[in-house]
Amino acid sequence: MRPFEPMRGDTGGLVMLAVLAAVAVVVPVLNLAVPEGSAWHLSTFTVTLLGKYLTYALLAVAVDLVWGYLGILSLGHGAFFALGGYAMGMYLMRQIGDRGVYGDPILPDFMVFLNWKELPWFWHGFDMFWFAALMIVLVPGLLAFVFGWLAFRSRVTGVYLSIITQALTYALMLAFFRNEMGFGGNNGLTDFKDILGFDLQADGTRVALFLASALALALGYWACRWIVTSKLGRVAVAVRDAEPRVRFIGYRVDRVKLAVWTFSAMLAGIAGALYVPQVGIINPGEFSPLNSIELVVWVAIGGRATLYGAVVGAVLVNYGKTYFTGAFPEAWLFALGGLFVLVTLLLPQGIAGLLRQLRRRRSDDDGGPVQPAEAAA
Amino acid sequence: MTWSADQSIEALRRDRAFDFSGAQKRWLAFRESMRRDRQFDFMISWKELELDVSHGPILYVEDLNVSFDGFKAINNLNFYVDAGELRCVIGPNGAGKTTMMDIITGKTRPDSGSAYFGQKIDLLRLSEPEIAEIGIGRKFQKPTVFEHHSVFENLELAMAGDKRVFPTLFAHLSGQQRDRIDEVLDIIGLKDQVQRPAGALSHGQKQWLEIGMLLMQDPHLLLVDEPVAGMTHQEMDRTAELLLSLEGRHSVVVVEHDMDFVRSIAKRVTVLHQGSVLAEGSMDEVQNDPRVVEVYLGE
Repeated sequence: MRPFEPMRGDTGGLVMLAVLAAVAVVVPVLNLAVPEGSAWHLSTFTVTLLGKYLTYALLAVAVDLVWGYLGILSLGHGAFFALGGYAMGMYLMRQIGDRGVYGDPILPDFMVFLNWKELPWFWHGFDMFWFAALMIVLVPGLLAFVFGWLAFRSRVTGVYLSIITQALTYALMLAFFRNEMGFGGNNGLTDFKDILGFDLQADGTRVALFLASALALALGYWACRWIVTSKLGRVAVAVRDAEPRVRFIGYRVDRVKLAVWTFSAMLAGIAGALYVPQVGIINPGEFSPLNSIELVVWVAIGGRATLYGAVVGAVLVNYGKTYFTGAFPEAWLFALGGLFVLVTLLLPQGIAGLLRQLRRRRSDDDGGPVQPAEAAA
Repeated sequence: MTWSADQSIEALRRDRAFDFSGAQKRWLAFRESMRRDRQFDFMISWKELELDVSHGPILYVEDLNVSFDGFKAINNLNFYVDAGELRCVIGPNGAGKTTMMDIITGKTRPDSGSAYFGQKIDLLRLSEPEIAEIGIGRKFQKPTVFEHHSVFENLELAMAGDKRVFPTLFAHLSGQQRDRIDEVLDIIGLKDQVQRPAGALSHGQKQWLEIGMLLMQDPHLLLVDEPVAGMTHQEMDRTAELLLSLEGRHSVVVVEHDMDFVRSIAKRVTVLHQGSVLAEGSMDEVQNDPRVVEVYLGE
């Protein structure tokens, strides 16, 4: 297999990956090599913030894969993100060992506090990184598989499917809020100390996590490109545009959907797992339906069915969020709402659509074949 | 080239045996063996799933009944199509033409009756993709092509072959497959539009593309719903030519309203009325049938 094949013709994606590579070189240098007093020094706080944006970007790519190319508007992808995050959180909790407030060598603090005597069965194995890493993809993947199998086989589509994805994440949020679930209730999992033996507060670890997020984004992006440029990707777009026709041609539409959907959920799980050690906490709030909706807004703003648009949208909106919530804390939700209205009215194909228009105007050439993405919005 | 019925049957049997994969054959045989009304022959050989047209007809529809909320859309319908035949079905609106196609392709399940493909394959037990795979292709009334895909990609997606998820993910076009696509492009006359998105084609071109997609599926039986609706006269002639060229190699059922068009292609015509067959025969016989004149031609 030729590794560059999936990127052919994807100028936006190549530019995005080039920028990502540059950032991945510059940021660690500015943080670790430039002395703290210098104007060029990048604080560890900023590095972590950027790392967080990258995990959001990966999540947005996962959503764009199912929304832009398969036509499934998922309003529950936050659930897969949070499940991946919880799996990582459980590993980090077990790494604390006897350094917790109560000093119990096995039980995390919240279990001691709840007067539990034994580790619940589902916490076993999470002291090993490989096991946790497996669960990070398996748990969201399995949930997506079962959910998708039931939904797609019954041919639930469109807005009804969106509503049940929303219900899924809401139900999980309520479940995880309960202390008896054994995931720390509304406080969630926090107070992490180290990962793979490295101190989570150390600059070096922070930079490594940032780099891991950048790498995951690049690989995840490439994998999604590989899928959408394969014949399966063309079948997926056909399902998006004319589902019954695909069925009469002889494809099992439910299985096509199930495969892409499950892959997307696994990607979201990986994003969540990289997110948690950087922000230092995972709690049921991550399952909140609002998160999942916000994430769809990132993709819409960036431009559906382009993949790189999702990255651009996620980073820009989250940068805006950081800026606004710092400068005008009350204004953020109005800004987000306003942005969404403006984009829907003026840029129905998002930022990616705008870039494409500008490029076409400059090169003054519109004879080329229309990309499937072009008319998708 | 003229084709006799025997030759057609032989051709169908010889070059067009199913390309089911082994696993799929086993699965279909297993499903067949799980039928509750067939307890004893618990292992049915794969051969049972092969198209058997040795008695002539490729499609048997018998005593079919469907009703929607009390309205009898199909009423005791009996309908047979011979292998290699080109059959036209006419009838006023609401006569049950589209419903019949829905049943044959697995979209609608009947209340009672049977539908067999060849003598052995029970269509009522198969799903839409399975029916597509055993060799029944359908063109819809409204042209449905994949608008955001190019003409080439539309044909590529429709091409017969392994359509399971993972083989599709790793699929690459072979030279032979490219040749096949080129061949079909020639037949439907869209060679110079290969790279255009299907959404940019004219109405007539979309209809032809859809027929091309049917041909790529390489079906034994083609169901074609109103192929010339909204076409100009030249386009109609071209379509008639196209359908006539399929006769013999494929069995074709055409549902159409346009009488001139039907006259130009039909050898045998079936008239449906209120969900059952009113008359069947050559165009002249049918047109002179007083019952047909009464309900349909209304003259």
